[in-house]
Amino acid sequence: MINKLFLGGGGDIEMSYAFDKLFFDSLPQNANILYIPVAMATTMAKKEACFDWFSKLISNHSDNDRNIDFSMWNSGESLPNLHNYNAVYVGGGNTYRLLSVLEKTGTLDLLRRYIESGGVYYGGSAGAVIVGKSLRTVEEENLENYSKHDGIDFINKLSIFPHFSGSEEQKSIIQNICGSHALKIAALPEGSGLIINDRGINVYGNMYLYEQEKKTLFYTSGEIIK
Amino acid sequence: MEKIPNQEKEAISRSENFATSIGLVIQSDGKYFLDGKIYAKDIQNENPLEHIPTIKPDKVLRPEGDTTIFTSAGIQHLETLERDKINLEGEKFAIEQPVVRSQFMDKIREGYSTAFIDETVAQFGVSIEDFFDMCKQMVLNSLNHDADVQKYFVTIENQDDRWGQKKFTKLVVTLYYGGDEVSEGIYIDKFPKIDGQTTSISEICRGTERFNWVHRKNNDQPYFIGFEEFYNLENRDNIARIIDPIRTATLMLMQGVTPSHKDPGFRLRQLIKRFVERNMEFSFSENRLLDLSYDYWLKSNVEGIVGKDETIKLLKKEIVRAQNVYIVSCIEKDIGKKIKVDVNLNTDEFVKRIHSSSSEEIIRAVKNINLQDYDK
Repeated sequence: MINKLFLGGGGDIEMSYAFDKLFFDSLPQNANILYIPVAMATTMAKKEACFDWFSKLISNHSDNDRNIDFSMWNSGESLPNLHNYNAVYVGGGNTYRLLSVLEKTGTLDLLRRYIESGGVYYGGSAGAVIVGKSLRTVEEENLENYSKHDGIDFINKLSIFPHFSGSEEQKSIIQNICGSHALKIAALPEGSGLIINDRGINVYGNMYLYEQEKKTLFYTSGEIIK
Repeated sequence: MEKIPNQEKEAISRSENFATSIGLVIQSDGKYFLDGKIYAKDIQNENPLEHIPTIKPDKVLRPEGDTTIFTSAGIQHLETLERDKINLEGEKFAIEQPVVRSQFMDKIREGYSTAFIDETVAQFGVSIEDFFDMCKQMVLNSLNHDADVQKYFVTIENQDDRWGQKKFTKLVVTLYYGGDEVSEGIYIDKFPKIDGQTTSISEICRGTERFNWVHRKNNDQPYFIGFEEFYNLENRDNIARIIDPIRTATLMLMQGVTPSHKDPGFRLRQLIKRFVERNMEFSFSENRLLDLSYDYWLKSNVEGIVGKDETIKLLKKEIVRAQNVYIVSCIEKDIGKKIKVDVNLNTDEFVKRIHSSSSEEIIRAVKNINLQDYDK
């Protein structure tokens, strides 16, 4: 069984360590990863900080025998050949900006084809949301009034709500989105995530499944979403 | 989930007024051209910014807690000032700061590098009028190399930025010569200080190497001055891609960074891996490249905390390791098999152990790799 998609609910490097470890353990010892930070990296300083951040993440999952490397891709650069890498990692930030840049540059189509052909993908927060059906779960990030709200829709019509804290305010927001847009929403706390493989959509940590006029379902590690 | 308020329109309109006052004329595409009449009378005049004191640069490796692991801009010296509890109001300095920009590691071509000297002039607690005066001087610095105003244009934009937890909006004025970016002015109206107050920051900066290359009189002059003996191929981008990682790795090593699987040593390891992969075809001498790199940085006032001999020793050891890692990667990628031999051995011993413990298929694949003799 090969794990293909890792969709993280967000959180800092320490918080998501255990989920991230599943991703890194699935890669070859000398893996080369393509890191896409366009949701966050808009200036020279931010790009350098993103490079530092990913470097730190990799360091946390490397040792003297495991030589993981990465390249970073940003908008304005020539399109990468995703198949030259063992995995693609799309980081968090502004989800609408991320989708807009990926679409305008043609990278979204590349990603779609890459995932369809069996490539390994990690999406953290915004990177996870774009793989879902809709971006309505993070609509407050639509600062530039983008008209498109559709994600790649690779997880069986599910939409992702990251950074779920379980607060009454968030629950109410999710229920409203479910009602207004007829969506099935997977609410993921930080440190939790979904792993999509041949067996289906596997939960790591905790996940709450919201659907209009249905009881909220709770899933935990090892369970598969029906 | 990042949400920074965008006040772009108001700020751009404000900046357009000042731009006009320093002889920038807006075009229909949003770029600004230089008004030759305004600039003609000031060319060759004394540069008032030259009287700002030049201070000792920061180390390339920043203390833990700073915005980036490696110093990536001269203006980061303000983090040093704040750490030393110096009141920023009225502070001004000029600095020739060696910087590392890892984000370019895989984008190197002639005219670009992951390490360079960032010449910065910065003033704190100044108005936007003062900033545009500094920008005018920035333009004059280029015009003193080529007074043909037609070859220049300027862009002005507002950007939301973030240094660690500090979020702010900045006005960025970029000068282009012959289509190439040559220098930049930045104004931050409200930079958040660690005491909770804000101050304004005005800076102009340029990369020494890039400035000299963009304004080169001889078209054959390479970007990496001092490395002319390597520029014997038509494809200068390939040469730059080999020189750059060794040159930046040398800067890190001489400033005390050691290779490791954790940062900052991981960054060094990434650079040396790229050198080994890119040098497979060209076989440039790593000793000579390091020698020239070390001397270049010394001449640029970089402190050699680690001596040249020790730097060579550390570099060679890591190059040998990187080549072994390359062999393992090739086998993993090409025939899907793992090699479990210690990559820290010298290449001869590493290859010998592969021969004694691996299948014929692996041995054949290793023989096909154009291995370099880095053990010498």
